[in-house]
Amino acid sequence: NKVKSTVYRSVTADDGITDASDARQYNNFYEFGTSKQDPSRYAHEFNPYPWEIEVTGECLKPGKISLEDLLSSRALEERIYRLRCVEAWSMVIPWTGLELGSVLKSFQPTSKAKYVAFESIVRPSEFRGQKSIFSSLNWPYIEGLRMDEAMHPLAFLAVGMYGEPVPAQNGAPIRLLVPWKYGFKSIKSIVRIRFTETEPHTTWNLSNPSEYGFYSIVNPNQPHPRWSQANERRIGPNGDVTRIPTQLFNGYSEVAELYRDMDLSKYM
Amino acid sequence: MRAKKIYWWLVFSLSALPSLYFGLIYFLNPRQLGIDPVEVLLAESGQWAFRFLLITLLCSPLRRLKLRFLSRYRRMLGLFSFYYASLHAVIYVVAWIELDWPIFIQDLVSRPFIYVGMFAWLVLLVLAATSPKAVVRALKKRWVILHRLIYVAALAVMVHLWMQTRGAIGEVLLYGCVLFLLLAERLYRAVPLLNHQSVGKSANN
Repeated sequence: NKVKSTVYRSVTADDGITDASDARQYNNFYEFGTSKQDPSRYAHEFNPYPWEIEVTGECLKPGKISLEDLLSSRALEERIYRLRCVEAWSMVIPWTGLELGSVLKSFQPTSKAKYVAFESIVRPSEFRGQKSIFSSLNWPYIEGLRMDEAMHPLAFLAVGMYGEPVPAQNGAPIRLLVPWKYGFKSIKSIVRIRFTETEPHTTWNLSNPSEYGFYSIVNPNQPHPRWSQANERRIGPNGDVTRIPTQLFNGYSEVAELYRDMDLSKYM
Repeated sequence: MRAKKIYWWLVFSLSALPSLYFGLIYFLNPRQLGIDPVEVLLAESGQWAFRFLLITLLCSPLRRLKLRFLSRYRRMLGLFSFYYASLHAVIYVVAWIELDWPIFIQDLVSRPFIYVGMFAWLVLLVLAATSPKAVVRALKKRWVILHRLIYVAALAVMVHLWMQTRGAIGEVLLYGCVLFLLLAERLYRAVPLLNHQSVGKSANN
């Protein structure tokens, strides 16, 4: 029954899966600190349980939902996604979770809901990076998607990674995955979801608007102001790091229809 | 004479140690350096180049405080800065962009932090090439003026580091403070110098 309900998607023969230990030890999660090793080093200081998500804004059924209720309400799926960081490294990771759209629909967003805003947890006693004076980011970490992006079947809420609960350093207990956008869009440790009529603010855009836009679609033809996005360092199986060309939409060309009316070179 | 030689070897070995350490681990077991070992080599070589540049700049102020030990090795320390900067550049070209020349040209033309870094390396190259004693003697006063370019290199490296910072500002602040102190001390001394003392005394700043 479990196997039957498991859906595997978006993995090609060339894309070997990153070692679990690498995906758990090379993280950007500034709540724990700004170096790649900080999140795994300090992950034990964060206890994510119990957990609930508050849903507000332009919807008919706002409210709080606990992680248990969310998980018991539907079958989990496994998906193997490429994750492309804006810093030009990438991994291929198997996730377990739920389609974002199906979760969002249960709160019955109204016609005014044009965007979805997400918010990460603030708990300075458990996230030492939130106490640091050397961070240029403000907390809580916030992100957002356009409604049609959020409803796209590829948008995913993960609760598991490599068949285990998502580790703290990877965004326990529940995180977003938007595999056709740069990794920072895939917000971790979500505590709040809000349906909005206007485009929500996002953390990296507020921190540096000339470098990080709301859309932040993986696009090899649009360089970051400071570095090229044409290639990426794939941290692949057995820890092998190879330099490979980056694909438009991170290879998920099925999302192209979302942007057919947009000139992607004009939207960061 | 003997003690002098031992000290020379001591300073030389200590200065070479970081490159031997990281080089050895990289060739024996690169995974021990981190998930992306090349990234670590790139960052470490750059940091050591900057550290040696700052140590070189520290020699004269220390000498003015009657601590003469380091200033005897100023040329060697400066050359080690060039050595680590060259390793940094080679790692970038060979291991990071994997000799992808179109990307190299694109980076040089359009990425400020790359061309500022390359410029700093070129300045260090000029300083290294004019560091043999014979050249120092031949250039005389012009050598002193030429080697003030080290300030230009230091500022370029600072900008190079600052321009690639993303989120974390602690490192940039630390290096920035050290460089500021080293430059401020010289500026402070230079102002009365302009008014009272002969230019000849500035020969070794």
